[in-house]
Amino acid sequence: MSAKEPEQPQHEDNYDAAYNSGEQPAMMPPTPEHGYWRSLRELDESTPISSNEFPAMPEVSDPLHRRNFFQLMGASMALAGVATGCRYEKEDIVPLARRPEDQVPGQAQHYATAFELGGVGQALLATSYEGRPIKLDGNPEHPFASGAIVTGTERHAGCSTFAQASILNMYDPDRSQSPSQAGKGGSMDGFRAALATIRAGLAGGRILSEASSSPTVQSLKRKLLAKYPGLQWHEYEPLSWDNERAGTKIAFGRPVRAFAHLDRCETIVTIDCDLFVEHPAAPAYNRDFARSRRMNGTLGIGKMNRLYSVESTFSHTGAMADHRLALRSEHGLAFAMALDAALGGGGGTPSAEVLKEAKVDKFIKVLVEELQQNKGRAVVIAGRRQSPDVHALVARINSALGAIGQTIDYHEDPEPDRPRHVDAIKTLVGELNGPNRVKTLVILGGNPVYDAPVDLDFAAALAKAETSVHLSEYVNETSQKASWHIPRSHFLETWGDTRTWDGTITVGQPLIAPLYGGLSSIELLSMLLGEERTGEELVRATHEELGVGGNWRQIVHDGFVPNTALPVAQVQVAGFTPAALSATAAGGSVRSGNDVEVTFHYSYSSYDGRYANNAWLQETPDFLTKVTWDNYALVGPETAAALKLENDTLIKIKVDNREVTVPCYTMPGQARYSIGLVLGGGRTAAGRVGGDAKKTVGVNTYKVRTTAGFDYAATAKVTATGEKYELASVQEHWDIRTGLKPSVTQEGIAERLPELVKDVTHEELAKDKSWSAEGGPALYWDDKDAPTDGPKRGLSLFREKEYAGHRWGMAIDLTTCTGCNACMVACQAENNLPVVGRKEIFHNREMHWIRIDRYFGGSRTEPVVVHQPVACQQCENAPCEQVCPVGATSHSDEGLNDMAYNRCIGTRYCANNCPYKVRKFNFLDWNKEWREARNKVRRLLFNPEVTVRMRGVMEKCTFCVQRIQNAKIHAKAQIRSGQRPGNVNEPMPDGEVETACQQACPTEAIVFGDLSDKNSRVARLHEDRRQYALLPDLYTKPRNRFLAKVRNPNPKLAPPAAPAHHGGAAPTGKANPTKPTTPGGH
Amino acid sequence: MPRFTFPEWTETLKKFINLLVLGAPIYLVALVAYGVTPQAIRIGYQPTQPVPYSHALHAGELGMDCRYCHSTVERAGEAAIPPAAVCMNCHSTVKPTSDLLLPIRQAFAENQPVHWTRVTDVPDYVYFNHEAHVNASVGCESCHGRIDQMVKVYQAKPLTMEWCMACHRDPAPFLRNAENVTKMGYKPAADEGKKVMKDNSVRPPTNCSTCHR
Repeated sequence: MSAKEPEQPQHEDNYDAAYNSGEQPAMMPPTPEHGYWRSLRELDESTPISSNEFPAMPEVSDPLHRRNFFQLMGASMALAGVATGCRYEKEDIVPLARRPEDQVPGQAQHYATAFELGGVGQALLATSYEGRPIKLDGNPEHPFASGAIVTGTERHAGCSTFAQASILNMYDPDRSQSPSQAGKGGSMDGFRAALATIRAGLAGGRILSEASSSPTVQSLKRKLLAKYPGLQWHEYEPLSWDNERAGTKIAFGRPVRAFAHLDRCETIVTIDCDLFVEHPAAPAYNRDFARSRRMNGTLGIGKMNRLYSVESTFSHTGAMADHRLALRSEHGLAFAMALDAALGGGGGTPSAEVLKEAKVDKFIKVLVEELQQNKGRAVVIAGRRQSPDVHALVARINSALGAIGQTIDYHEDPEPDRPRHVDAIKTLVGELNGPNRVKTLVILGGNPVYDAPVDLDFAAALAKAETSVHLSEYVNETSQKASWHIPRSHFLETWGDTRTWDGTITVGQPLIAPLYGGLSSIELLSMLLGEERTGEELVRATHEELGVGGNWRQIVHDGFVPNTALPVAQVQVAGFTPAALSATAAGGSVRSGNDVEVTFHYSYSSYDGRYANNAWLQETPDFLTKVTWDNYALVGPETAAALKLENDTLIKIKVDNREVTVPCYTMPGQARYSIGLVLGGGRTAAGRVGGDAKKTVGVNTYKVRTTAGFDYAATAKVTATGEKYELASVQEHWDIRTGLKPSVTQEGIAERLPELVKDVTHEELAKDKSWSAEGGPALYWDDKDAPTDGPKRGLSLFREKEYAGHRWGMAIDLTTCTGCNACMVACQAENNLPVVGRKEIFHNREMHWIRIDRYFGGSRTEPVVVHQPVACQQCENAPCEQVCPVGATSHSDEGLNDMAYNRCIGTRYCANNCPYKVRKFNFLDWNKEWREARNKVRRLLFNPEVTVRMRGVMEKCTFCVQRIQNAKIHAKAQIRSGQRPGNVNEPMPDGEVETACQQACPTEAIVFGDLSDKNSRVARLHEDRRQYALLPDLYTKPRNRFLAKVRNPNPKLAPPAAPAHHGGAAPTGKANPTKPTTPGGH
Repeated sequence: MPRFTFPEWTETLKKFINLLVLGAPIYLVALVAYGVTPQAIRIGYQPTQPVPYSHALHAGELGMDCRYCHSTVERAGEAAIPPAAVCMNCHSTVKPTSDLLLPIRQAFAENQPVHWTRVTDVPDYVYFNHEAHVNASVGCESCHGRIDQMVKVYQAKPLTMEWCMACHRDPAPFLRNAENVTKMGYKPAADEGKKVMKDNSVRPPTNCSTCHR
């Protein structure tokens, strides 16, 4: 780190000058006039660097010398000789001594269970093979987040990345396997022996729990508080929605829980809020948003909702928004006040400089006008980071809009008296540091030593408790400081219950006995009560207490207790006056140079740090930055230009007198002078994946998060250190056909990108009935189709195939894809995808079969975003098949591009010839470590229906061929044995085969099915005028089609720099004959 | 003592020595090559099981149907080795004290599985499905041989890809009326296979993904 700070150029934060003149601030290069781009590097440099289809052959990770090589080869030859003399490895068949009636060996079973994150439940459906759970999906029968989006899929429930990936944690060999006392060994018996002392200390003791909405935890809590006088219960969660509780308390007099009905909304406004991933109601919000976003959705034919988003850092919601206004988080209050004043909420218009800016002023005016037109059909939602005042104002705005009871319901809070999490931990630390020594402190889950506000110094306070007990799945930072660590069982190993955001009691049943022993939190609480009952008894007892016992078997089967949603509160807005704006929020030009606000964000890879040891999540790229295996600071292009920052520059962020050095990422569309800091990195006791004291993954950014700046730190300084740290970004990997040749210039890319991502406005689509995404007729025709007159067409070089039976196809609607990555994790779990690690990501070796390409459009300050999930396009005329020298990839008569791993010799010709860059090669033996004895447990997670691939073979998306085959075989067998009517030659009914990505998609953007049925959903979508194929001029005839993204901008606001040419179709609607490009020129 | 001299007629053998020297490697290669073919090393594989269960007795002499024990064969990919409880259905009264059946009784009493050794095995990258074949009226015998005559089960067919493909390309000789699927030693009528194939629309796919996933 350089000691001398580079000189900071000073410039005023003057929005007006920049926006009124319509010019970019002088220090940035001008934005070119073309449409889509993928990275700032691509915008700024005339020739892209990303000729990385074949990165220069990197150094082999484990250098193998020639001599070693021959020794090894000799040995393996000898072994091969011996081995061929034998049969395969001797295999045992171990049938159950008594097989339960419903268990069929080798067939998957599904059980409802539940997952809790941040105190809010998600209903899950677990897939289990012979007693080992291998995959998690949403529970399609749960009333909260399931149901149809696309007509004809009544049973659908998406699933978040965190919920899906949490199954990997269960098999993690790094999980804690036995209790430990003071960091040394220990046993459960030892803990039992110490239990008497611990319980004695509970009188006047403290319990610190992570947030939990479990009715059983609540019930045990009540019993404990009654039993031990002076016992106090605190609840802490580093990422919490408490501001909404506090805000609704201001507005309504009591805290309530907001749940918007997005499916009834024509106008949705979010203030610094992510509805699609971060919000605890995200599963339902995704579904409801998609329902009203689809043009034939819940709003009626030809109508779609319009989304306005005001935020500092790009969220999924901002990326989906029709209009996004980048404002610092500190401006949220001024914005809410202005909206409140304009809608007659009773407050005065604030005098904030930011509101005087032409752009902001216009945005608010247009927005208010639309909200007034759409009273009763609009909703405003504020986010976690915004202050209680903002939430109170939002409640008043919703009341003024007639939204309450129409588009938003406020539910009674299950614990109205609970203090805010940040206050609770502050109180607890005060008590621990107080004159009366706390005898027993029990910490249920969580990791406060790592994630509590840094000014509290939780570790020091924890040391002051006489005995501290930490229940945790891993020996984490807090466990190391506690006097007792007790291993916690995973949620798939124990009974439990929770409530989804609407309050429905959701029951979690164990799928497997605890792999490493351990207790669940309710079992530990029961021990503290001195009764030691099993998890099932405890959950059932709670349900008896609540009077919702009912038919227990039915409840466990369904995974929820019906009709237990929290009642809708009858609320009336009380008069209140929000706090005055702070100086920085009110002033316009106070910020300059390196004076910034810092907002704190959850991490894609580890949430708040808890999933740090989850390799699936670590390797899933962030939805916009596409960075893996790290956390970073997001800086806006202006700040970057002012401070001369590039991507990967290390910057020092100073909040009060604390500082942290993080790599920065220049994020287009980031609010000026606002820095988004991603939490969850820098764990020192996560495990072999997530970092230990010697080597961490990312940087611990909690080091600058204080109680005062818990949501965002309003005053922070940022300086460049002049050093660099390379972030493992997959952004420019696997790009399609744009940067392959160094000679392809910016203009060349600009010309080609619109062929890949297409969008259209709702207005255009409605006005121009002849618009089609494909634009014109295809360039190549078969001989027989060739027109006899008109322009001469090229002839296909492919031998066309006839398809008689099933024809599998997929359609992906870009309109509803939020880029949430659920499909990527689903594919990882379903298809046994390996994880390659940060180092190999730099070599373009990530193995995801489905990637989500992200494109920016427009200017760097106000970009629009398109997410495009790209898996194997399953070309009918597949270029990869033409070049395989051994026939390892060949075409099936159902149109699948098959891959036979055992035949592949690893020439990589196919990947070379694939225009979509979807083939992934096993450069190394990624599964090697699972053969080690201590890691063998991880192998239980493999899906037995899919081959685990070896080094040296190519792989790619198969359309989940294992699901297709099994469904087909089963259907045919049932028809042949007379158990099912029909004919084996008929197309497969819709919904009978779902790919893993489709099943996980919370907005049903992915539809899969049999094209041979003209009425199937996928066949109809393939006929939609929004459908287009990628690179149609190659005549690959892909079986996967995209549906152009429909935007719904308000005509009164200039569309956010709509791409100049898109859709391949002229907006006038004339069929636009595609320019013949030279075949083979790519 | 007279020195031994090779008789003159051995001179004629000398001509063949070259042949022997040249021929030996060829012979050895051919021998090894045949030695590692599935025909040589897989057919006849006959591991010893923890219980000397005789298919010849149960399926042959007593005429029990395959599906009594392999009960999931019609509805699942795996035919299922029976749980000890199935054995005990009879053996709680038939030979209840036999020493040979001790592992079964033990498994049943202690609820612990018996570890059988797999005989008929395909490589891990091959996904064979019983449900598909049995419902398409392929006889058990076609792949497993005359189980009813095996005292100790052995692998009867090569189970190579070539062998699988032969039937997938031309299934008719191996198809029989549905009611005879489990019948051993059944000789289908002349056109039976063709008729079954037509009636049931049996068109075995020969795609890679049919078996490899």
